[in-house]
Amino acid sequence: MDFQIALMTSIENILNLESDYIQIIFTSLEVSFTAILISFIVSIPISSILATKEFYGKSLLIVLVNTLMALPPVVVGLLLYIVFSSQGILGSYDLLYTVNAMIIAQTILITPILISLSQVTLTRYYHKYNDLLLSMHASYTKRVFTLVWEAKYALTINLLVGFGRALSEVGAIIIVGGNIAHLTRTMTTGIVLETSRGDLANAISLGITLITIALFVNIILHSLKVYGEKNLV
Amino acid sequence: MEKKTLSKIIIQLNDICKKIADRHVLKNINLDIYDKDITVITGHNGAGKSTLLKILAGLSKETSGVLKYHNEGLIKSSGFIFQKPIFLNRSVKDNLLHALSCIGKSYTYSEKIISKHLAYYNLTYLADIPAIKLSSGEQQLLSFIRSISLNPEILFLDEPTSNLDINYSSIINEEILKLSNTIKIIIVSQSIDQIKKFTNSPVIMEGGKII
Repeated sequence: MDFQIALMTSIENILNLESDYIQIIFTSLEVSFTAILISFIVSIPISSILATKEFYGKSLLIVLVNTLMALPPVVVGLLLYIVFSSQGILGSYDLLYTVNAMIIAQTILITPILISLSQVTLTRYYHKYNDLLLSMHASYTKRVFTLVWEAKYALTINLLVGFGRALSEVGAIIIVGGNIAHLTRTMTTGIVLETSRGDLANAISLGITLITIALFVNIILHSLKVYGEKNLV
Repeated sequence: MEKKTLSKIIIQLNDICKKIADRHVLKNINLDIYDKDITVITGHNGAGKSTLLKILAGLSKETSGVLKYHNEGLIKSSGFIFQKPIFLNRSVKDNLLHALSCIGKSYTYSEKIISKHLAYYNLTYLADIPAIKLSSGEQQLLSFIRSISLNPEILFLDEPTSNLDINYSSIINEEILKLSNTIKIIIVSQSIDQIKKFTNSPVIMEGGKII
């Protein structure tokens, strides 16, 4: 297929906004946003403890988290496939080829990234503010809440990195989601399918949409960060 | 006949040592701190003054030795003023509110106290300005207000006027003198004028030791 024709058709596809197409975008956003939200909720307490407490095995834990950051998505997908398959430990929950399985896969992939980045961010704030907070007799909980609040704009950037990773992930979700039309097909798994089928127009339209959404979300969050840093209060 | 009360020891340091990254910053410090007068710690850069002050205030832990507070509640009711003021990324008022919330004061009480202090120092107009945007003099004064808002029994000051002009230095010095009538003050200073103003017998440090 001529590339120029494929590009024109892909733009037409986007403008037509067919229900299949909207379903794919919705599934992608549902999976990525839910995964990033869960990861954020899980990562903040863990990274806060790593940043503010000294304990036996801390260095080892940090090395482990950093190693998990480099987890190959297909390996995570494969392991979850084994766990979720009818013979697997969680087979009875019928998670395989569901959106929930995809959310779990993405959460596993993103959480170590958010823990690692947030730990570095919060350690920086800990060194900046800990003496002050101690001198004001703040309790441990109060100190942690203050650090997280003060670091909120820096943590937003970490969230962006995690969201980017989630939105562009394909290896794990294609295995546990199965790339089923109207059910578990996302923009990335759709691109893989359409490219392998030789339907470049559909693949390009999904690619353009994916990049546009990523750009849009990044602009919103970045503006939020800039606004926050300018106003400071 | 005038009733004279005797000074009593409130903090006692026995053989205090502090090692930071294989460097002996404090070496066998023995010191008694009394409840009366202002205690001034002085010495050249790198003598260990700030480290000693942080250990006294409980912000840093000694590597060895014994640090004894004769009244355990004393250190829980202390304030600390840093050489370079540290502020949260918030307005002047919110920084003060946060400080009071750390010791469990209610919002209504805190607002009242803050308004009173800001008015006393003619800083009410700065209440809504981000603290980090103030001049260094205003920041140190705000740091001072934040500490005294906590209503401390003891105040630790680490070279509070080293970055200030004469005007702000004299304001801070006068306030320290006034406060010393009601609370214990321990100050690290390298300013001869300040030392002379506050004490006749400063604690002089050199190379991590008291000389």
